[in-house]
Amino acid sequence: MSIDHAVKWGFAWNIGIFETWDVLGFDYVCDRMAAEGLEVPAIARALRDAGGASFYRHENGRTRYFDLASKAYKEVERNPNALFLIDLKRDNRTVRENAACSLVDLGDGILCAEFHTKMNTIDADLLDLLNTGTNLVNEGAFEGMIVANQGEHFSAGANLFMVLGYAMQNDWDALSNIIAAFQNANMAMRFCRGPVVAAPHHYTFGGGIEISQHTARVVAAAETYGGLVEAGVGIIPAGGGTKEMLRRALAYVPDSVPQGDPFPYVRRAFETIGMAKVSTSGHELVPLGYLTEHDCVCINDQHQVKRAKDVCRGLVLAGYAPPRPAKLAVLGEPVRAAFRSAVYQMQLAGWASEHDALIAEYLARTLTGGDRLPGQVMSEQDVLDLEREAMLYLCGTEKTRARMQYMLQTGKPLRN
Amino acid sequence: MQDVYVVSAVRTAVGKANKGSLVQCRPDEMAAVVIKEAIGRAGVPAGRVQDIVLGCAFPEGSQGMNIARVAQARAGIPDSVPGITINRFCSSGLEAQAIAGAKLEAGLLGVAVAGGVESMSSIPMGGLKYEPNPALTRERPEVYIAMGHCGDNVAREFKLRREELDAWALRSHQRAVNAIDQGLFTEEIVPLDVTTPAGSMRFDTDEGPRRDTSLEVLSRLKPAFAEPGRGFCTAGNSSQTSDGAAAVCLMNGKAVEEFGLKPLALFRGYAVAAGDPRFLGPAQLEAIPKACEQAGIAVSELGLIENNEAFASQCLYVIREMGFDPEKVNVNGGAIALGHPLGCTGAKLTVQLLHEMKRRGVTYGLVTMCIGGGMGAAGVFELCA
Repeated sequence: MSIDHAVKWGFAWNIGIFETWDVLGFDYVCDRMAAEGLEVPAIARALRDAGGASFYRHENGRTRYFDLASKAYKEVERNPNALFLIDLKRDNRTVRENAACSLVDLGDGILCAEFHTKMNTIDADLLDLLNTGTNLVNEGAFEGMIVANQGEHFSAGANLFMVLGYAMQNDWDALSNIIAAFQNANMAMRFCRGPVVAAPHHYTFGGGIEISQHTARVVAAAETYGGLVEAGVGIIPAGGGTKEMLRRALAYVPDSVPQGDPFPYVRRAFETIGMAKVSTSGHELVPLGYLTEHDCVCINDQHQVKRAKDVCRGLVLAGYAPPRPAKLAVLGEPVRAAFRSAVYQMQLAGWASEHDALIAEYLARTLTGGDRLPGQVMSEQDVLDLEREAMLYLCGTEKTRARMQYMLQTGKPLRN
Repeated sequence: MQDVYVVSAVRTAVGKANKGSLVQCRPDEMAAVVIKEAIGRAGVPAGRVQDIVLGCAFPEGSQGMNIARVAQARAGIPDSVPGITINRFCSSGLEAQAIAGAKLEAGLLGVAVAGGVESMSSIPMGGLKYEPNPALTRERPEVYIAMGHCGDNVAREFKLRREELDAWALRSHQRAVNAIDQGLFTEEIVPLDVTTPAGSMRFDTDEGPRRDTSLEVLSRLKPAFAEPGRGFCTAGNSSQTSDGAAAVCLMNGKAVEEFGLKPLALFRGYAVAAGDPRFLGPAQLEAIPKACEQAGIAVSELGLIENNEAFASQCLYVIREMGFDPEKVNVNGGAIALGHPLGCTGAKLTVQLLHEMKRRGVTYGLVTMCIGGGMGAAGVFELCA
């Protein structure tokens, strides 16, 4: 077991040598070694002599390993800082589940929404259970919820296949409804009576970031490669991500700041989304504006889920109350013009295409409040509506569809 | 109509913006030093100056609040001397002389100080807050394009090769280093006592020129304003961003006679032309002959030329189209090496030109530059015998 730990922690292997052996089949590997004239190692001979058929045994939610010294199975000691969803599910702690998501009881009044779609992309089933989880907290069945999983990636964002499908069929009602459903699920987490804590890790793209931004706190893995990358597939964040980037930018300059100018902060949001910037670490999510300095980064990914649970529990103990809905200042056409001028020059330089400029125009429109006048105030829902309008418009363009198709086929962004 | 004379001409050494010795030096302080020195060298009582006309390309923040008036107060010049700040971007320092000069010519003024100042460390290009007109960003976005695009446009449209641009850049540095080593700028520079993180120092040498640059180094630089293959202008063949101030004391004939002074030069003509805002250079081709016509001379009579090196592309284009002898242009290096403190440049180039004309005994000299927005300016000076 120590050797397995060493290669997993030291070399970032997904499973250890002896776990691999188990997966291949203990007897099969021993027989083949013998057949090929290799010496079967002492530990394997001892296991066989003891009548064992695998190095590890999983029973009743517990894991035991074969101990060479005592030639018997011993209970794996659980790291008090680590929490494994797979163990809890073996312990029948699953509260609800469907094809996309499971709600797991972590104990101490904290629920976990665990995604398990392909690349943990977001679809209607997933949103359904996310809403169920939020409702369970609102109803008092749980005191708080974490959104976490121990898959390879936290989430690659919205299910692009689904989005493109609706767009190609010109099924605008269905597309509009699924966008609204995502926005509503995120807003429900944001205003949930109990704290919701997200634990993004590895690939956290688009909708994965948007989910994280609608929680009370984020405990990001140090190894997080996250960003609102929607522009790469020809759209803008429409699950509340654009709204959150704007809300966070404006929050730097409250009314109490004399002559406060939110422009540079909104400009950062425009550039971050417009250039689809991706962090190279969990720490970098903060300077890019995706997370705030109140969020935290967890170095040891084995500790992340437990840590998220502890942060959630801490917020409960501190008497958590949801935030008040934001009132957002409209920056209007003057700021949009500054963005437009900058994008035009990027086009001249060959750094942006005509379609990039169109996407940027819709992004700018959303960030600056559409046709409203500077000085007016809008609600979070107003910005969500602008996001949705922009998304629907862009999904109707040939070049956005081409970008989506290319991404689905090659996994790479198309520059058109 | 009276003649307009330049009686004295001084400048600060030019600092590299954001990383040089003048980063901590306020523009109003620099301006105060050169204004005071110009008056002092002219030999007139400060109280007899009737106006201070100062050019500045981004007159806001520490360059705001009418910096000419602020500099007057900091220079200890009597409050009875007024001040005005004017802006025509990169020609501001020359335009300031033209505005003062026209009033001197008409007899509205007798003695004036004109000059320019820019701390690009303090106020970035584009100003503190960029707010373009929304209708223009939709209908004519080229009105607002950054100068780098214009520099690239000139190279592309008028077929200048990258190698030519880099060769000119190298020449600029070599000439500037040579001028510094020979002490050619010593007389015109007013030292500044400045505070830097390394301590207090006397700043009296232009810090832009590079001794160690080479064609090989310059040719390796990537285009600064566009994709490789699409752009021509690099950090190496474009002007440097800079901090600096310069001023001249101008008088009309009547005042020169009254004070019994021996002036340096006559300010003989000034013209501005304008065209397509996507280009830098073409407007200079119109402005230069106009200014020469005002001076009553042929372009071929110009013995010395300061043609601002906003970009090597624009500079070479103007030299080529005007048929200038390159040996008469930017003889002590240009803005690629010495820096381009926007609103100061027109005055700074005048200072450099007049001192070199005197040294060489050249009769007619020209200061010319391109100006953002598709404009170009030219001023003609005649050495006083």
